[in-house]
Amino acid sequence: MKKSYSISHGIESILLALWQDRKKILLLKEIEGTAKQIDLMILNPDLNPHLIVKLNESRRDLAKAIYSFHRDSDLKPVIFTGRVDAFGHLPEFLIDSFKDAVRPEFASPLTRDEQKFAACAGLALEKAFSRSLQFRINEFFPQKNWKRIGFYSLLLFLTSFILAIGLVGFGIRTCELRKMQMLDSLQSSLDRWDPVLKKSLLSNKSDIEEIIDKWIYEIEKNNKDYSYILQTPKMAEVLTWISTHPLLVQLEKEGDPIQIGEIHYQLVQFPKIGSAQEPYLGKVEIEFQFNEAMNTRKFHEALLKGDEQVDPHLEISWDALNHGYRTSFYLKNRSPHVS
Amino acid sequence: MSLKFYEKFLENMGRFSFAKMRPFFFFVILVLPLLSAAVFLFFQNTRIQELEERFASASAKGKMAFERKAKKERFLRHYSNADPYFLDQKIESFSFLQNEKNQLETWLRHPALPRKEAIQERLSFLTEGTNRLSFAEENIRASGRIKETDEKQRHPVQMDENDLKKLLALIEDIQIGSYLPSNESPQLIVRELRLKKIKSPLQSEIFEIEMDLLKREFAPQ
Repeated sequence: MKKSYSISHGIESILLALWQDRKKILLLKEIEGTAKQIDLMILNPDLNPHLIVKLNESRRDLAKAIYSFHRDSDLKPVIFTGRVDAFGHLPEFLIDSFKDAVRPEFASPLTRDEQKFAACAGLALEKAFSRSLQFRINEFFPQKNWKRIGFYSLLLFLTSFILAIGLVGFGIRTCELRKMQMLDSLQSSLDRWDPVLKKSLLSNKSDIEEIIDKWIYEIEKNNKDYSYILQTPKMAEVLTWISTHPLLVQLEKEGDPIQIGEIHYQLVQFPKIGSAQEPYLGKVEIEFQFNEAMNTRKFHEALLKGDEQVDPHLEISWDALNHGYRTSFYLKNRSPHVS
Repeated sequence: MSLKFYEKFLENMGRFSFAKMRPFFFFVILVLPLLSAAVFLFFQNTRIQELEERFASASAKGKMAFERKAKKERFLRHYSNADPYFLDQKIESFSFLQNEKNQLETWLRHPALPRKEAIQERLSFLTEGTNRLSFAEENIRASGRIKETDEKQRHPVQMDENDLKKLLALIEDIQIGSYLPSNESPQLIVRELRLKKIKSPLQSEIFEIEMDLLKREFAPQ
């Protein structure tokens, strides 16, 4: 194409020309309907002077463009698009002036609607060179693909569900095995320690967990000694301790035995009805003397070190009297606390 | 018919999975059963682990606990059959310083002894009940199967080493040398004991004893 042609006339200007011819009897908005009823092939020039001028002008300009193309190419078919139904036989009327320059066998492959909107579609396609254009009103995805996707979705859901059930089943089974192991261990322990308790625990068909819980409760219940069993050394044991104390025995052999004037044994604390959790706490006070002051010191140091009877963590008092010394200390309990 | 229904179902399934909801939600629904199973297993495992830990801890303490239980049962069995008059009949009836008494009686019969009053007085002290244990019951407390009584000694008594051993064997339920405890005693605990070493009129070493006891009586099971 060496030369570009621009035809300034369009349907609007032709309709305006028609209105100028009919403006005494029609409003502008009524002109479009009237135009559709006019067949251009049998148009009376006297009744439509403005229209005929405009149409001829358009036909001339169009012919000029077509003849210009015709010089450079073979005969081509011409397809009119846009508002081609604005007048009756508008394409035929227009083509009449250059029918020797176009292919005569004119058969449009387009429907009326396609003809009408071809320009818009063309413009859109032109724009589409730079980016993709979606003409679909609704989505398009083949039905068979939906089915396939549905099948795979279903398969995935089922797999997930079956896998979850499998996992839960496996977990429950593992837990049951672990519980059974505990129960076996419990049975063998009870056989050795408390067959009576075993019978009472296992006789009723309780859940394994419940049995283990009961057993743990029994253990916890007996975790500490019975509160009313005396935990602190008795008076007789204290006297035995004094008479068999290694240092005192040694000092006796060396000729300086301990000379005890008084022993005061006292339970400072002990559990009673109403305060059964109170611990036992025994205290001993001894008034004594040695011939050698050094031996007194040795005895004091021995008490401070503590032993199976003397609790070195509690207060150990030491007083000098007129004729000897007085010491007091707390007794070590056999069991740290009571139940 | 069923094939069509099946195909329609699959199509709807596909549309539901990818057209009607976002892929994120599809994957959420997909992993939801697995996630639920994992959460269930986690809690189940935590519960079993906790039970195992408690079981292991209880097992470690088990032997000791059952020994304690057996000890408690033995203790209760032993003291459930106590003689309610044990203190009156077995402890308060004690006659102390038997050797000294015999010796004093021998001396008293000796015709050459110049001053018999002092010996007579001492002998009276030893024989007429002045030197006998006597307890006053105070603060009687009872709860369920247990009855507790504070036994307060009314006055100090004198005794020798053998008397002390014999007395403590009975009170503290413990064998001391050849002295054996009694099977009928209630639980007697020495709350306070003051032992003073003194010289007897015969110049032998004896003890002056003053004590308070705690008596516990357990009703039979």
